[in-house]
Amino acid sequence: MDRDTLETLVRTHQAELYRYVRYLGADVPVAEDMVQDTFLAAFRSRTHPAADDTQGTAAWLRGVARNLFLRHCRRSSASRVQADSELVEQAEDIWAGEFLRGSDGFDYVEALRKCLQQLPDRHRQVLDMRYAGRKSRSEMAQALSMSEDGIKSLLRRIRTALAECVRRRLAMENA
Amino acid sequence: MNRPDYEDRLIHVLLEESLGDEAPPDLTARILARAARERRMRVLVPALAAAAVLLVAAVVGWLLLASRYPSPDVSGPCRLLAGAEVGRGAEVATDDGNAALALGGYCRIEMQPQTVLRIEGEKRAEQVFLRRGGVVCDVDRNVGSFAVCTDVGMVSVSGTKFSVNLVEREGGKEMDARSVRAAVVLAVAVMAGSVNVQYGGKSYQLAAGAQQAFGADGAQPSTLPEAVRGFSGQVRGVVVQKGERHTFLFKVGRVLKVWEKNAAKNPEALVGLTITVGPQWVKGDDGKGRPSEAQVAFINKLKVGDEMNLEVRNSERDAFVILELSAEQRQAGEKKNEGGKPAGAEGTVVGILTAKGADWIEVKAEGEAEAKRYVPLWAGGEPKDGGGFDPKMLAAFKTLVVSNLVELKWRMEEKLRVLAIRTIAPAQKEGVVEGTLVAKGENWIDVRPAEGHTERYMARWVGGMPDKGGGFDKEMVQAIKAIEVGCKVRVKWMADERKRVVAIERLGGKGDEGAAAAK
Repeated sequence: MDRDTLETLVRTHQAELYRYVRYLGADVPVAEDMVQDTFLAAFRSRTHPAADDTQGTAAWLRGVARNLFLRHCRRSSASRVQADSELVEQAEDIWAGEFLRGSDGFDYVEALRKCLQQLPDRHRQVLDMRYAGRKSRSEMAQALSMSEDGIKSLLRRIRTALAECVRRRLAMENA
Repeated sequence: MNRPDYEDRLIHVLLEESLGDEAPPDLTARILARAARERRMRVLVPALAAAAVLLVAAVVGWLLLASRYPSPDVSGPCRLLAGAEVGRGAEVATDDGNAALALGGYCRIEMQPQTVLRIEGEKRAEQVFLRRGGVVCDVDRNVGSFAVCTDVGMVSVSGTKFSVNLVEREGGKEMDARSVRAAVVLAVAVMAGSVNVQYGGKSYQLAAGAQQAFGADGAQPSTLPEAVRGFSGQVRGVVVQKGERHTFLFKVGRVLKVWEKNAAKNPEALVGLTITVGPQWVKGDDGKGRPSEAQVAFINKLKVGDEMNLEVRNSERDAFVILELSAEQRQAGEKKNEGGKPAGAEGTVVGILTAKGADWIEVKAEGEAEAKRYVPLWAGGEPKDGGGFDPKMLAAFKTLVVSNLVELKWRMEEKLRVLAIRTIAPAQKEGVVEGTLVAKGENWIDVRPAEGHTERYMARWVGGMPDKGGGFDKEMVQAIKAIEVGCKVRVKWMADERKRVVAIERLGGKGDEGAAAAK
């Protein structure tokens, strides 16, 4: 693979691949390393999908990334994330089936944006504290007069609600 | 450990991006840098392996060589004057043809016609004694030493290519050692490496490109005796050194004729002297003095060792000027006339600046096979009167960048002179060009597009200063090495102080313009 081909490949797929590795459970530094390693594996490989097969190439890169992630989890005793080949394959099914839906995930992201607009104010406030304000659970618990476990459960409930909202929206749009 | 809920993680990751502004980082530069390092290693590792194999082969070869040292061998038309066979002590002579002598497997000696030499020396210290004629020697490095001995001096080396000629003033007849030392000039020209010349009890080191003649009184001009001052006539002699500003040192062997205007009291006293000879100064159309173009062209063509008749006169102090050239000499000079343009001709060319010095530039013009050298106009009369190159043009030369496209207006005045020059700067900072790869070097390519001028694209410089490990982009240097001249290419380029090739794509070979694009 020459330099230009590699550059094109990286620019086309790096954002989705980074998001995917984070989704698998890698933290930011590990995700950055893993994305680099994935593209270098592609650079070394003699067999990969044709450059014009974007979806096939993306799936191939995700496969390389899953293997690298599994190897990382096995080697790293500090990994807090449980991962085995069965679990990451399940992760791939959800990513491909729920998020990508035969495309690039844009529909899912757009549906999520609309669902966020419909969220009750208190839920939106909680999400803003957690994601925009980057508050820790203890800070949020103190601010909202709740326990840390309560915050954890609340965040989980909000995300589940958002996932259901997205699913409904996508089902309606496809109907 | 937590068993992951991937639906929840998906929403979590997307919320981090949309609410937390955690956009995926751009890792392109880091990935490309790591890939480049890997690519370099891919090249380096096989190269190191190959080098190791070569080293082993060299050691084995050296051991074999040490055990089987080759005997002297000669090929081509030659005669043995002394000795029963070609070996140490044998004297070999050529008549009208060339012969090749091989010594020790590392010295290749081409004997010129009318050459006589004796094979001397020993293993890894090969030596010949040159009695007459000339030899061109090619000596491999780091194997052994080699020397050419003559009655005049000795030339020794340990790896180089050079020639040695004994130029006899009085023709080809052999002389005894004393008369040879008095009459013969030892002319040495070094093509590669360097040689050491032992002459007159002194040691001289000559580097590649040097030509030096060693005569009975060396290569220094003689102090002119009062008895020959004002000489005007015809002499025969040998060129012993080329000088600056179209001058040369000429060792006089005979005085052939003396003209009426001769003022020397004893013209014969010139014999054996080495004199400085230059062109005659003539008035140009503008009334200003300049050296005779024909004589300058003739002098430029001279080589050390050339023997000839010359009409000269003592012009001032110790210097001589050429009076008149023979028709043959004039013709020889005209062939050398730089640029092949008649005097006074003018023109404009667009081309690539391929090299430059303080007072010259070389430009390969569109459609020309080779670059031509251009110098500034001369201004201010003779050098002794403060004359010199046009200072404005010398300043302009300093600002030019080699490999850029330039447009220059020239005039033929003894040499091709630059009247005006400008750099044709690219309109954009980057772009893509398709065309034919018409020439290439180690780190550049010349591409001729369907429309427009042929331009040079250099590989990019990466890694800072050379002492910090910087150098031309090695991947591009490899790509340039791999691509052949004549094929169709698409070149992605960028411009800093010159145009740089960022990527080359081969579109097709010679003639197959319709070939599918392939990287």
